[in-house]
Amino acid sequence: MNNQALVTLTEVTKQYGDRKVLTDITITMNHGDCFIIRGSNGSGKSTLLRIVSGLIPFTSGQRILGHPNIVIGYTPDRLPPLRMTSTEYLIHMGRISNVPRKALRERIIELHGMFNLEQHASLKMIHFSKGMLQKVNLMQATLNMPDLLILDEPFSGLDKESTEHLLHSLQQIKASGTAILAAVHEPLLASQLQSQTYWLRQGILVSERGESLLKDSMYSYEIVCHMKQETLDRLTSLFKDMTWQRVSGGSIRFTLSERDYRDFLMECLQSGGEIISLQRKESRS
Amino acid sequence: MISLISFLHTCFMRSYRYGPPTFIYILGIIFVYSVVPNPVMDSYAFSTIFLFIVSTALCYMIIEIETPNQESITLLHSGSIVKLYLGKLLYSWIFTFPLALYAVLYPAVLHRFDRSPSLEELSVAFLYHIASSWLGVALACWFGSKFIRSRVISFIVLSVLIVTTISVQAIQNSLPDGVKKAVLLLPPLHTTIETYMNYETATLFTKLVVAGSSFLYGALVAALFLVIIHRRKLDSSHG
Repeated sequence: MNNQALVTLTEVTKQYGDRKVLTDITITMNHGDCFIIRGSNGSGKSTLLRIVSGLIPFTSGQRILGHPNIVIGYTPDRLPPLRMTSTEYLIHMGRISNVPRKALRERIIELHGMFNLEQHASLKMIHFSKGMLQKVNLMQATLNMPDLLILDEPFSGLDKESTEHLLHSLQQIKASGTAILAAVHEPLLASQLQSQTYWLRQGILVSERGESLLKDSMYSYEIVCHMKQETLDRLTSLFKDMTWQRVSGGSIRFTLSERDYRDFLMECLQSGGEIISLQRKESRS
Repeated sequence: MISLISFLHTCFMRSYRYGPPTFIYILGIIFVYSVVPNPVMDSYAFSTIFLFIVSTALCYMIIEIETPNQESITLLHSGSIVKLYLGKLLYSWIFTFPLALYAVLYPAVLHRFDRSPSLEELSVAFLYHIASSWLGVALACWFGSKFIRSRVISFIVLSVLIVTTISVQAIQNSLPDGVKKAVLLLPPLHTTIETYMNYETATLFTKLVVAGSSFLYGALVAALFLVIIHRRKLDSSHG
């Protein structure tokens, strides 16, 4: 390990025809870094990850690797269910990566243990659940211990237990010095990875820290909702910084920062809450 | 490269997509030789064209054997998109070797010809079969979804190209004298067929040059494909 940056993107722009997907993206990843990329659907998160991985070209800018033999592990948003067992699949991927046979066998056994898949090692992947496939997805990316692990929506569609397990595995991988770059949707998980969060908005990458410093000082959001007590309990446990009070007609008025209100709205609607009104207010002059 | 081809082979075998073209080819050869006797080189000319068509179908499927997500994973493990696609092209071609051997040996072993073919005839026929299948592979690789998004359009255009390749002689005859040479740009399958038809009078040099021209044409077309895929990587026209 050294202090040299693993991957550096400098003013990278990606354009499809006239449509600019990414604009002047500059990002540097070092050993042990963990960056979370967030943004709405179609904001260009996957495109950015694929550019960092070197899977697709970019229109302008520079991508510099710290050294030519850098190992990049990549997990796409979903692994296709193949007609082979996870062991067969990992043997194929390992051999393609030129992992020595003996080391490969040992690593595959170790990974099956680490991801609790030992009892399914002889089952074909077409019979795997989404969570099991996601584990194999992460296993293939970490076969050859990567310098940089790139994850595209690693928690999408996983149940709570699988999510916690994956999170624990990612924490272990991160602790070993592997840099992690992940695009995630879930607001909660970003915080648990002890990471730096970036938002992709209109193709521009903005650090959450910088954004919140700028915007939290300017605006707050008042949202009036109808919801059941259990939904209220859930939201208050998730968004610690918000304030709330009951208003007439059984509605509840929440006050949130710029940083939280989008996630709050999504969480509220998904939990069956009903939005009555939303207002942006200047929080200080 | 061997491990990459081994993975592609496992995927292709377990997808059962090889079934229809291979089955049609095997049955087609049996059907053609169900009536005896048959002229040796004319019959091999037919099976060479047949294998050319089947090889395009096989490559058309093998080039898309992985889903886009799996292809991204395989690419990062193999380390190079050129290596990945070269593996797909080579696997498509190698897959046709047993089919070529079958087309050459089946009628010879089961005495379906009007005479016994010589060893030279058997060797040249095998060479022509695999040269033509290489030509088919090199042409079909352009019709994956990387270059033509619509599978219907790519299938139609590939079919037109196959028909054009088989009918080069007829096209040449119908062209005005000034542009007759334009057919040199088309895949040289017709030179193989002509050599089969005039096998007795052709010199050994001509016979080898004919096979070489198919290999060379295929290699140039495949190399151009690899250069372009290297520049585009896994990019597609949609975001």
